Amino acid sequence: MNNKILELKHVTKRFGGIVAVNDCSLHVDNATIVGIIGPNGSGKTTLLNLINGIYKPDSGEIIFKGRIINGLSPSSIASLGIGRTFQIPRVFKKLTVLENLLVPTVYSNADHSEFLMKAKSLLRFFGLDHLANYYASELSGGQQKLVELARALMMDPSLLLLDEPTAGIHPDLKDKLLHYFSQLKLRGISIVIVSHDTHSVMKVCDKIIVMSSGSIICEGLPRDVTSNPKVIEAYLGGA
Amino acid sequence: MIGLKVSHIVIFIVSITILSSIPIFLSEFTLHLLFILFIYITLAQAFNMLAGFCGYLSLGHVAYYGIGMYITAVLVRFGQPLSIACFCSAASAGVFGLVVSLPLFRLRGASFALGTLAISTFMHTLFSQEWLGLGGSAGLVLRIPYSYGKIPFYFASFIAAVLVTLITKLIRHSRFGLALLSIREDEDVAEVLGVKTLKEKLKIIWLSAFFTGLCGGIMALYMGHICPDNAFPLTISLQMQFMSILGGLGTVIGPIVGAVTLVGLDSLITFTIRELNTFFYALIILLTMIFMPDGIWGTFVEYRRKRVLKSNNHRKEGGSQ
Amino acid sequence: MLTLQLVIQTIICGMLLGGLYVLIALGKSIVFNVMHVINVAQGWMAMLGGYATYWFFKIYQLDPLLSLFLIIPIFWFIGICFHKIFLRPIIGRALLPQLVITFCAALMIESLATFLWTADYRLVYPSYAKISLNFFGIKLPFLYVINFAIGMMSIIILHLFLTRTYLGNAIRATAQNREAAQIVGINIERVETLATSLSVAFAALAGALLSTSFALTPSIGESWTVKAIIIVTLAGFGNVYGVIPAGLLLGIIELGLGLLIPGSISYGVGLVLMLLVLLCRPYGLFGLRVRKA
Repeated sequence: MNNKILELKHVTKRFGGIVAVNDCSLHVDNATIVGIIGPNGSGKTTLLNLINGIYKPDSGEIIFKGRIINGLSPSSIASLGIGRTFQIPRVFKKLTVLENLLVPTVYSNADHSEFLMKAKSLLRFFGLDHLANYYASELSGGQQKLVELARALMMDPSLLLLDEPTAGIHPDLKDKLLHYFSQLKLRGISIVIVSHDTHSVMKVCDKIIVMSSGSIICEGLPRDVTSNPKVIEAYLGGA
Repeated sequence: MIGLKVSHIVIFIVSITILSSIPIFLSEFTLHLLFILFIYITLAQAFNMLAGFCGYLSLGHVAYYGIGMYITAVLVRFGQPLSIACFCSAASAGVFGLVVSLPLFRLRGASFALGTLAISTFMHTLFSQEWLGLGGSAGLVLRIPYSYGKIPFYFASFIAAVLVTLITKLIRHSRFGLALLSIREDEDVAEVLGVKTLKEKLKIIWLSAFFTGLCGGIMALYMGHICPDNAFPLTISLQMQFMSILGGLGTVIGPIVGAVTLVGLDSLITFTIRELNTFFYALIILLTMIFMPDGIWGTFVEYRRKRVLKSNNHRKEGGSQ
Repeated sequence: MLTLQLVIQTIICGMLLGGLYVLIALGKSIVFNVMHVINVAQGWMAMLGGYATYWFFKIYQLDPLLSLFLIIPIFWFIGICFHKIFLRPIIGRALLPQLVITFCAALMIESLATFLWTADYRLVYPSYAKISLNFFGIKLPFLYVINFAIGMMSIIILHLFLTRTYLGNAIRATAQNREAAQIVGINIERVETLATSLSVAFAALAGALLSTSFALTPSIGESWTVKAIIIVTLAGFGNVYGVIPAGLLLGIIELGLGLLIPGSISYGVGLVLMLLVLLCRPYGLFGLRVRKA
């Protein structure tokens, strides 16, 4: 019985002469939280974009729940149960916060009022319910990030891809968020977190993957990875 | 239905009742004016569907208008009853829209706009060619029994305007509408959230082209003379843009306000020296765009929204939640 | 009779003509790259430049080539005014408002011109207009050659300005990265005004040169703007120097088609070509592949 919800096999992506992702292979076990860290430009966001279908890999396979998904359109991939947030929050600016949350639900045949209730309870949880009718552009950056997260959760994804979910978030709320991620894990949702906030990431992840210049240079438990000399070299620079 | 209010329905029914009963009392000239107004409202709404809701600016939208015109002319020549001809031409315009937009929808923003412009210019050049058998630059003349007078045309355009406004309103409050708006705001993110962007875009362009073509068809019968300059005039494309943006892109009433303003402006401005008509026309539109960037109705909607939010805040501060 | 000579002659003449269109398109491209604004009124600026040349010629018998020395500073100033009135409000706004506002400006200019000068066709006809140079049987109108030479010289001067002067470098910096330019201390407002002045002056220059070869009427601004847009699209939106080969190409197509097919279908063909480029090579025929961020 395959316990891996996501698998990447020898995935490569080039842009012109630059190799953004170089022969990466990794897997995410069901109901775990995996952190991807690495210096700027190491290809972390590109990796997420490949999984989402925004880019198509030049070679290699991406397998979700046992099914090859590279080559599918982003909307098909999303409907299989993958949610995504972005490094710089990309909310729908001229839609209200509530409308933002309702966008992923447009194809569902379920009752609209259920989604409305779910959206409102999510907003309440993140402390945004008083902003429900404001345009998303009228919120602060940190608030927009939370809207993005709530939006990604609306359709109960089995895999969440989060790009810098804690950036710009108030420290108190940060801990609440990290605790929330652990709760999601208990509910059976797998999460991939790309982050520079190594401290937070260490607290909540089951496994850390380190990338540098497009390749995976190390993989393992949080404390093993931080003491790995290759990782230190990648961050501090070196040959 | 998200956000549909009873007051809207009441206003709608009342206006329709009034507008349906007055034609008998009106002069030929007024009938003509209202006919043109309703056509323009339909055109503005059709343009707004694509530009306001979906975010795709179609500079060459007149292509569908012209197709509607020509197909109606051809069908009538072959003896088809008028209403069937109109409907068929509208449907064909819709199909044409689908075919043309399939490749075009790979483009975004300015590129898409220019692409549509190229298509409409191409259509103009194509239909000017003699070998097409459609009369080349001189065009075709339709012989229709004119004993009906203007009233049937009034009702034809009135029904078109009502239909398109109704459909726009329904879309605005539906999930389809929400999907379109998300495409307008950020198409890539919409895809990632599961919205099948191409499918939705094709649906809306069919509707938009249908109604634009319908206007073309009705106009073909009204004018009786169809030629490339009549069918693919740049001025109609321009006016569709002006009306939508003047009234307020992305709203339901906006295009109506825009159409009324434009037609009103046209008739009122003849008090100045003839050559300077265009000057003042353009000046007024320019000033409106600078000072009311959301359009006339759009600015009003924004203002109303901010007031509601402010009053909600005051209420919440008093109570607890 | 389609002889090789005729073909070569047409091609060269096309290039000479295209060189002038390049001047209009250059301005458009610069304005677009610095401010992300599409200025529809560009072609009408060229029209005004042409009319200015005409009136200098008609009233003061000023040779069109000499009047350039007057026209360029005048239109530089007009460019500053145009920027402050029309372009400043639309920087950063969506596409449709930009198009509508600049088009309204164009309409206002055209209707004013029609009112003041009527729609009669005007042609600047200096004494040397009839001279035709003869290279091995290939006849080239003297005017075309001179205009092209002046045009190319201006482009070289522009290039030197953009690369060797502080302001020129400031323009390029702002075009590449607006925020970084601000941080480094560049006065964005000044750079933008400068870019507009440049583009208007170039358009006027093009109009002035074109006035000796083409009859002027206020509505000619429209076709000139469309040609400039086609050229900028063929070159690729971000590619300023690609405008040169693209413009030459358009000139060749325009004259070449006029030779083969009667009637003015070069307009339609130019636009169709533009459409194909948009679909197949969105970074333009002469553009470089850009990485998708």
